[in-house]
Amino acid sequence: MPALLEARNLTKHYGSTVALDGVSFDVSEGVTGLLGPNGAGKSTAMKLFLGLIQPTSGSAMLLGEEPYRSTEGRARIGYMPENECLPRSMTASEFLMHMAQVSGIPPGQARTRAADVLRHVGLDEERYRPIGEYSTGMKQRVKLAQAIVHDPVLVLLDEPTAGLDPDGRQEMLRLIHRTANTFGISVMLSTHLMGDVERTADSVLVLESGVLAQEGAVAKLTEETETLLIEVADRHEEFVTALAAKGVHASDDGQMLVIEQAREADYDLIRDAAVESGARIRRLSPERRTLTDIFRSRPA
Amino acid sequence: MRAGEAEVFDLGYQRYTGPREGRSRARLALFENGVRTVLGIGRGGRAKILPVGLFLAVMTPALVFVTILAFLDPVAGDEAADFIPGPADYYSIVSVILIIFGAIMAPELLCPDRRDNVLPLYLVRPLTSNDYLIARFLAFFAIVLVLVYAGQIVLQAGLILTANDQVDYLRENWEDVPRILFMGALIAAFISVGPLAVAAFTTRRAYAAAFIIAAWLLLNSISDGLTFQECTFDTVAQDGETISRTEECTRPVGDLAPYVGLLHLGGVTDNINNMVFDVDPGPGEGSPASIAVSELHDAFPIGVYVLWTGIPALLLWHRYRRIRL
Amino acid sequence: MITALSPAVRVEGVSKWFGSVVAVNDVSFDVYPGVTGILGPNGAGKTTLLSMMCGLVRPSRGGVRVLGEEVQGNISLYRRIGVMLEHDVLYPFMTGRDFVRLAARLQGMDDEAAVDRAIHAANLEDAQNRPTGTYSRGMRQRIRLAGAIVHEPEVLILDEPLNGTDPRQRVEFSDFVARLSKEGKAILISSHILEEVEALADRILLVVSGKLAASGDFHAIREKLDERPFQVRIGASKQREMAAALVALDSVESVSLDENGNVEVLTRNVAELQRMAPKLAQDIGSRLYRIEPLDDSLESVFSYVVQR
Repeated sequence: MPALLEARNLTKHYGSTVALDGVSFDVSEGVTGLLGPNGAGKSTAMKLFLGLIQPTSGSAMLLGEEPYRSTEGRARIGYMPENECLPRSMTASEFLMHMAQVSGIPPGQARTRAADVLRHVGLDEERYRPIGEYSTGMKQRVKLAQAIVHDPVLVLLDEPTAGLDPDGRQEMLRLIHRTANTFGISVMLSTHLMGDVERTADSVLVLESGVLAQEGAVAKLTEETETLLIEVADRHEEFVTALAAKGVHASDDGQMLVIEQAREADYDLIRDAAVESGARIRRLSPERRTLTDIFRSRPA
Repeated sequence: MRAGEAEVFDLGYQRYTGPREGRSRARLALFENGVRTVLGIGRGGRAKILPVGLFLAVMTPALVFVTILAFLDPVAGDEAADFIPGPADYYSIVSVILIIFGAIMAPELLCPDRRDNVLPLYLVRPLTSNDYLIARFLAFFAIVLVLVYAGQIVLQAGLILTANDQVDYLRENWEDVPRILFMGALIAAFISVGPLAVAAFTTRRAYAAAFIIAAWLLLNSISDGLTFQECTFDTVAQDGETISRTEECTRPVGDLAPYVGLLHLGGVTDNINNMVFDVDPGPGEGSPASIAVSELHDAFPIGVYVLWTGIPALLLWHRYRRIRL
Repeated sequence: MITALSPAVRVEGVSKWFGSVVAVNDVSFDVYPGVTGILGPNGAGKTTLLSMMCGLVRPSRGGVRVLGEEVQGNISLYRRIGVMLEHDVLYPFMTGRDFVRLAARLQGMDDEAAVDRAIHAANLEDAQNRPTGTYSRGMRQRIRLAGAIVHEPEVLILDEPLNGTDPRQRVEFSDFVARLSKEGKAILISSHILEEVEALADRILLVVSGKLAASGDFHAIREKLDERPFQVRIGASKQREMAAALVALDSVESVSLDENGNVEVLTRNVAELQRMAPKLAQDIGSRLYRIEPLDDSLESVFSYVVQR
């Protein structure tokens, strides 16, 4: 399976500012998170893949083509910009049908695609009202819908959760997950929230100051470690004492007990300590790595 | 369906397997959408008031003339018909309405896309900014062309039907048909490209419209004012009667008058119109500016027309090259 | 001095209306030292509440006391409160250092060492002598934070302090707030990024349509939402026996085995489950590898409360 996107020594200068500095990576099927600070080059990378701007040097290939030179590949990708980008006076239904046609789909099919896609992103009755009257959440759905109305191979989402409140964000993440897993459209998701990537992405690219700081599978970066965490909801002291009496060594920060490299037999001792002390075990599970660690371990 | 049988349908997401027509479909879609936007199709009744109103305004003169022709005495018809403006005068009569149409409707086509930031959505599709611009221009040009021809067609129909001998009339006036078609296209290009270029520089439709109308009024009145050449003298005769005499006198700008006349925006197409229909504007006919311009070699008004359509076209193209985001 | 016993902020029966719009509707709560997260959908009234706590907005009804004193018009009290509100107010021509110094002077302080400390805390030493107009969004947030803490306030009020900051800055900011919290300061933070609040806050205040919908430890809030059964994942060496033992508990609604062989339990009484699981495992002689709540994250608590 060839890569959907391919960056080779990709460099982009704006005057004296270096937005991207010799970056190389591949994006393949599934959800790829593009994580990084504002100004790290995320939007620049997206625009290069979309052919909206031209690289200073190196190449950004989209489905094996250079998007700046050829318009063909662009018929098979979708793009959801960060900013507002919807015509206020059109209805969602009319707009979606228009955008399907602009992506090359004939009018008859465009009409049914528009109706189907709007249903799949959860816009039903509203779709015959002008977009100008929509709430932020509804506009986000239309923005996503226009990006997938032509059933692209890959959709690029630029900060789709920026500025949303918790419900709006959760809804958006759910839709992104559906897009990838139910609709089968690969997603490249740019965000500055690690939680967005942890919850939706299969792999992550971390851009910092125009260079690739880290890349890898999210499952790997968030895998469980050998460290065992125990959190009790009450009778903390009693539990700690019982555990110590059984010879299990745990460090205690007052809330969480941490056991490095628990042995098989320790699990029985922990269970028995819980029974003896009568403590409520809220959590007994291995510690997970988090993407936060990427940013905590590396110097700025 | 027989009793006891049932079916469950899959309403889940379906992959699209139909035809993909790429760039040509994209251009066509932009063209169609442009036409719909200008005419207010698919948007409430209010959006249709302006295009329909302006369309009626362009048609009104033709309808009025045809109505008058129909009621004229068939015998005296030939003489009276001389007072009814013909195809050579028609474009000049409706040019004010046409420019108002351009000033109001051209911004409608370009400003909202930039105001609402829709352009990036177009430019990531199988399209270039030139495709966008050409599709939008052609949409507007097509509408103006229909508008321009519609009045002439009504007028022609009226003239032919009221003529004493239709065949004779056609034989004598057949040259008007290519003239009307050619001149209409030139006018439509002029009315489209200038207002579109202005609209490319603002996201506020009202500003663009105001700018175009103001430029029109300002240049026309300056040009007319400076090339006006009639002087009226009143003398009181011995029997107490007042006699008015009209004499030629010097224009305020003297020998420069023909060149100042070129500034007249309404004259840009009027001057070409006079050439195409082979009309020589004299006193009482045409604006002072066009009378002044008629003293110049034909190359001047042609050059002015080319500049007034070419420069806005270049500005428009340049502007959208730089807009890519 | 604030102690764990006296609240740093006391909001009592507060309402605020703007014309016919009721932004805050009869809200009472106390804020203690440590980190308190204030959460809610857009337009729920969080910013209005925070503005009342720093004396910028007068309540239409009720009272706000900070450090035991009425806050409105109490200039000497303002010097003990640090404020960073959502909207960016910086003079672009002013250097970062001048801005922090100005913030200190406005609080009646003339102490270059304090300015140094604040800039160090915000990690802006390198950029302190550049005009703030040249700063990125994240740097602007941090210099404003430095301005808010330069006078070492006892109470810190931060409205969406992480807006526009990048992942590294968010991590640094969280660590920084955790340090201040350990020093005994009372910190109120509003934010939309629930996982960050979850990691940082000792308590939360959940505001919905101008009313206080829930407050306290979010685990405890979750347990009060008994209309929503809890989902808990339990890992044991003898999964099927464990599942059978669990389903025998009255409060357990259902059990199922997931693809990794863990038991997923749906219960109406999570306290009982958490206390009984080790005992049940012991009784059947099964090793107990894992007890993991699946829907007690702040995110689920938030959406359950908002949807009530």
